Amino acid sequence: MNKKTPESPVSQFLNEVTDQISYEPLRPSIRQELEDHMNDRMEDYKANGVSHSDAEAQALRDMGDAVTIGTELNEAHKIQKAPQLTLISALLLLTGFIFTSFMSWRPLYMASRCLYYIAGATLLVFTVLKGYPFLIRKRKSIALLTGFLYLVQILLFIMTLVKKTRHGIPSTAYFATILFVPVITVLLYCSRHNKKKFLTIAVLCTTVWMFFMYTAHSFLGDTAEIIFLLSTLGTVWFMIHRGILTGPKKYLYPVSLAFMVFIGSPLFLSESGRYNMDTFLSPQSSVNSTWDDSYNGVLIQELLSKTPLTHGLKLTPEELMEYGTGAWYFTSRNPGNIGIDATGINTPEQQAEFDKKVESLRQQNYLPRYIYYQVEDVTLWDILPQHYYNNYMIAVFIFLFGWIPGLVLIGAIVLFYLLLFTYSLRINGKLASALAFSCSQCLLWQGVLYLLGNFGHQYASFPNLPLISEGQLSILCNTILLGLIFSAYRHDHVMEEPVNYKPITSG
Amino acid sequence: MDKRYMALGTSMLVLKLLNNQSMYGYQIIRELEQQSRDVFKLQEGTLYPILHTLEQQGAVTSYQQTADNGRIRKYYAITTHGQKLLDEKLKEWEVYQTAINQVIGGVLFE
Repeated sequence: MNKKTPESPVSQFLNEVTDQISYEPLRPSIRQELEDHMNDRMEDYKANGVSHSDAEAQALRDMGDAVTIGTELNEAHKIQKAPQLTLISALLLLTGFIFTSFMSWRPLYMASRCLYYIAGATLLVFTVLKGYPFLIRKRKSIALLTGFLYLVQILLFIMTLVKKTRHGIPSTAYFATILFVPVITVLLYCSRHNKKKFLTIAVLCTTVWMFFMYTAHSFLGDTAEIIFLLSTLGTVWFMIHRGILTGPKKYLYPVSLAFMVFIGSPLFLSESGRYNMDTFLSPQSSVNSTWDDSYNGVLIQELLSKTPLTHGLKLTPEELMEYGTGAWYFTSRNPGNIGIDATGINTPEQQAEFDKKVESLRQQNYLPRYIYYQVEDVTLWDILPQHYYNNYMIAVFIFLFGWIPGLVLIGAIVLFYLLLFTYSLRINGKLASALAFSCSQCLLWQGVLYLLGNFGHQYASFPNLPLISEGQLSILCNTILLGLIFSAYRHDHVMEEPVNYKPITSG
Repeated sequence: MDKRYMALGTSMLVLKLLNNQSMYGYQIIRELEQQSRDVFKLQEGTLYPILHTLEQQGAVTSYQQTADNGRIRKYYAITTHGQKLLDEKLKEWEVYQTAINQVIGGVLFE
């Protein structure tokens, strides 16, 4: 039977210290540091002729009280909580869940979206608890896996270009573009001390970006690309400001700006890019039919101007019909532009006559909108941008409840972003702060573009309002971003800087 | 001595030493002892909460280096933020020191 070797007084002391530290993964490195200190002290005593046992006893006395040291070290390495941000994030997620349930008009549709919320909430909790430490410890494996996933995405793009048929889900490319921002942040951080490695990473990332830019935007719209550019530029400037990327600041700021403008130039110089910008700045300039997103923008601006402060929009049935059909905007009342009456079709003859009318309009290159209501039964819901409620939640909320409740909702969203950046800026760790800032930027620009769209200025394809609008991949992507911010903040005082971190096993 | 000023003094001294060169924990203790001619003999373990707190505040940063005897040592280096903090602490200390001197001086010359 093996006899358990009794622990040495030094080992007992170290156990006593580390037992006070609540974040267990931190214990081995602290133990090692204190043990090395005591070994150094003992060696000095022994060099002066003191026996081993006396040197050990003296070194222990010199260290002081183990519990006090451990408690003070634990105080320095506490896991941080973010109660205000937790509360408002939970409220926004709940609001999104309720909105999604309320605005889904088919039970199956509702169920699938709600499932994404459940998966998103689970992913959020996991990322908050494990995300940042996992990223630090497994960053090489994660980098390889991420590289592989982006390679697959690039291959799908190439297949799309060659075969002219779309492969994969466009949303994955959309969110892969947005998630590329934190990926680049980590890569730039980890290579920043090695010029050759840094340049290799920069060239690789630019190549991947070019693929996304030139192959994906043709069917995705440019929204993810503009969010990527703004977020990456903001993050790089933040890293320069904090001294994470070192060099003469007066050159680094303009050079990074010029580089971003250069790689993003197709967004402004190509024909589609100029169209997106014109539509964004002046939606009226590109309205051709009621199907256009720019028409929704113009309609929203018109309805917002009529919405009272304290209660919802009230319109007469005649006004509702004017807005519902688009006749208020297309004053010529050309049947190709305004909605076509699809009510009162009860017999095959009536159906045939209706189909003939539709076919005639289609031959003239019009895409008629069917109007299933009349002045007797039209409601506010009939005139709102059809099937796009998710894209206009803020505007719809203002139409339904008035400007003041709408501004309260906007205030809550602004508060969320303020807290997000407050917590991100409180993080001391260099990588943690850069990562949290990059994720906050991705969430911010999605929200800014969404809000602008709700006031009639939509840029390219519609973005999502993080945590609230659209379920599905948006929820998963944004909960990862939010979870990383929480996790970086939470572990700021317990994680060591990764480049310098070499796990030490206790002897 | 007032605990607050004790803590202020210790972290100030640590920052002051690190302002000259990067050091590991035991080296800091030895330097403190030698430069103060054994007046500052800390309970050595209490140095580490101070160092770790300064690191969390971004005042110092750490890196590992293998020593000649093969032991991996954790070195601490002062940051730009730490240098600013040191300036603040030195000013605060000056106020404290002046106040003490004035009181002592007053008693002596009354």
